[in-house]
Amino acid sequence: MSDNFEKKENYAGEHVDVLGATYEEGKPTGKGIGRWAHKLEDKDDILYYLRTAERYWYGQEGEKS
Amino acid sequence: MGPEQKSICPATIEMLKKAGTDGIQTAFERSGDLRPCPIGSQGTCCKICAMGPCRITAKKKDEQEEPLGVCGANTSTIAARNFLRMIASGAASHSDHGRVVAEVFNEVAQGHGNGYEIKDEKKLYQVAMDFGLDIENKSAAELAKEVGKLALQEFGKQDGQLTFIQRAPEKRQALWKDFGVIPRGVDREIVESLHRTHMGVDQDYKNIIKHGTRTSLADGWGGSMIATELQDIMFGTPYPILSKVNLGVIKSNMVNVIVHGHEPVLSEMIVQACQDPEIKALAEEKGADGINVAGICCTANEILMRHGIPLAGNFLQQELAIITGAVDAMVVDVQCIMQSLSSVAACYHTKLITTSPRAKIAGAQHMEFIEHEPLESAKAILKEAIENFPNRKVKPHIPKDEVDLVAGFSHETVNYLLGGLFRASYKPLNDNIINGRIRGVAGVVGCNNPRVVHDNAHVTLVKELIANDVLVLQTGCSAMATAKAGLLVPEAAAKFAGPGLAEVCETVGIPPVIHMGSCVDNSRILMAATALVKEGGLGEDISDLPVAGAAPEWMSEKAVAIGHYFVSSGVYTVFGVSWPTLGSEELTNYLFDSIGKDLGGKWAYEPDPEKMAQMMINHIDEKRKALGIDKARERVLYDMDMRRELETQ
Repeated sequence: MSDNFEKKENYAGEHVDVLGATYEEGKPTGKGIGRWAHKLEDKDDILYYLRTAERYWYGQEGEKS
Repeated sequence: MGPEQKSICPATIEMLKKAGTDGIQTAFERSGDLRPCPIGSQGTCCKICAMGPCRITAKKKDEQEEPLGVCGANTSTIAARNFLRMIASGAASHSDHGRVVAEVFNEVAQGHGNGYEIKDEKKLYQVAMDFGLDIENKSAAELAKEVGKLALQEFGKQDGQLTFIQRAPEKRQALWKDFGVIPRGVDREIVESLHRTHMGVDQDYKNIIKHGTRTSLADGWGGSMIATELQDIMFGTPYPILSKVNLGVIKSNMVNVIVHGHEPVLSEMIVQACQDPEIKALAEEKGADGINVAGICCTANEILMRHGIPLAGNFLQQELAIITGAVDAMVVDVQCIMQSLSSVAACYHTKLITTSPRAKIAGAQHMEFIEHEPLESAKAILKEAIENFPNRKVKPHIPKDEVDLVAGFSHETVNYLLGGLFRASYKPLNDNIINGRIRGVAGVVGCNNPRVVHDNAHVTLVKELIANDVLVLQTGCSAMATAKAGLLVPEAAAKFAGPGLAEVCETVGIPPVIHMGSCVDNSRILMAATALVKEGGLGEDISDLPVAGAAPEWMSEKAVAIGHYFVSSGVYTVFGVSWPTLGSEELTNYLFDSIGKDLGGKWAYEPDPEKMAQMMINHIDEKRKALGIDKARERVLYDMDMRRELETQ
């Protein structure tokens, strides 16, 4: 558990300790970071993605208005 | 006029001072010494036959008769012909780039890639579906062969329509069909443009401009889009990537290779060849700490978008890069390359290397890029640069300025960023336009021009737009200008954007100014605009959207082609610097006003970037009003009584 407490004022005007962020700060690392399309592993994945993500061109959905 | 009055870019100012000390003349000085022809700049100098040239001025108030050329052509015909020829030349430039890419793609598809490969299968399937291919029962290799063949055929088609036209919103396609401007084949429309503007052919200014529309669409939805899509398949569809911009990216202790021009087929290989152990060893042997590749103009944008290669600068910085004394080779391909590079390079040790048989420069070393031996060609060029490293004549003087930027925003990546893998979508963008956090979207693109203060119009315009909650999409040298001003990082949202846009940018984690690539990648902006329409809630056509376009420092014919395909796609588009039809009031009025009745989009001209921003914002506001989203509406949380009230109505 983090010991990252912030001092805040509650509705009664009393000072209270509030638990702050507990996540570990950091930046993603590694080659190819951000290359989201690599999450699509095979042809089925790719075609499913195209038919949903690019649905107005390659899916069943027509244009909305 | 001193360097401080010529540019707002500190590195440019510093190098202009050094150019003065070194006695080097640049485009900045030449533009001061050479006044533009007052008649030619207004579009009414006709030199298409030997009865002229006929330099015609607009009819003055006290004149009885309209001034005419020897053949009787009036100012409207002459200016329209010149305008169409600009569109044709711009479309030819983008499309010939696309053709080279298609030829290389075919080699790859046939298994003769020699270093090139299919990197993005997703985009391959996407384009295969556009061409109506059976994707279920064919392998990627089989599809690549068919896509390559069909893409190359787009250039020489004689009838029917270009394939990517079907990507446009349905209403837009219907408008083009009714107006008779759907392009048949890329080459056909360009050839017909030259025929129509020959002496004694098309002499009705509206009909001439109508073919300009068809030709420009063959560029934006044809040649340029083919270039973008096939490049994405071979080199990878861009994703957000961090890099740096400005002359400070040149390194004194490294072999500096500046790639300049527009086509990525060579520069991709140069990036690859830099990693070769033999090349690295040779650089060390010559006393360098390594090889540093950086770019100028759109070749730079191409390898920035896909590899994060730093940008040395935009169009007006090409001579200045050499003046640092640290550039061991400037490797050029096609478009926007100044002939003066040859004489500037001769004053230093820089080797100016031309690589395209279509673009040689007297005094430069020509090392032809052989497309079926790409890696060997790239290595040979790098060896020339490395061998030249010990020949530096003077101690390099490199400005310290280098600024962070995030690039790599393809249409596909924007779609993914806004919706995720489960259901990628433009809906969050549409929702935030509808709720008013984002007022609208602007495309700000184009060149530099020494007739105006370098980078000033780009930066002033874009700052004004984002401060007014307009999300800005950029390409080309314009994106480099604003990157140098620090606008292409997510932190810029809090510093420069209006509160609504800043909130959205912070939530999504994007800059308020989105770099979408090179000038052929303006096709990505067309796709983004189409996605906004197709997502719904903002009308049925691009012309309904609260969007506008601008090229505030334009100079090339390609910019006119781009501007006209945006107008033809329904976008209000404003140009700065000068306007090439002002010699004909009739034609100018048509382009600035009544063409809107034909196409939905129209042109405007305003050299002052602040006024330009206001014009674009006014247009965006008009579109918001027409859509009924001009008034902020409070979000009401319904309690049970209110719900019951609704049900009984």
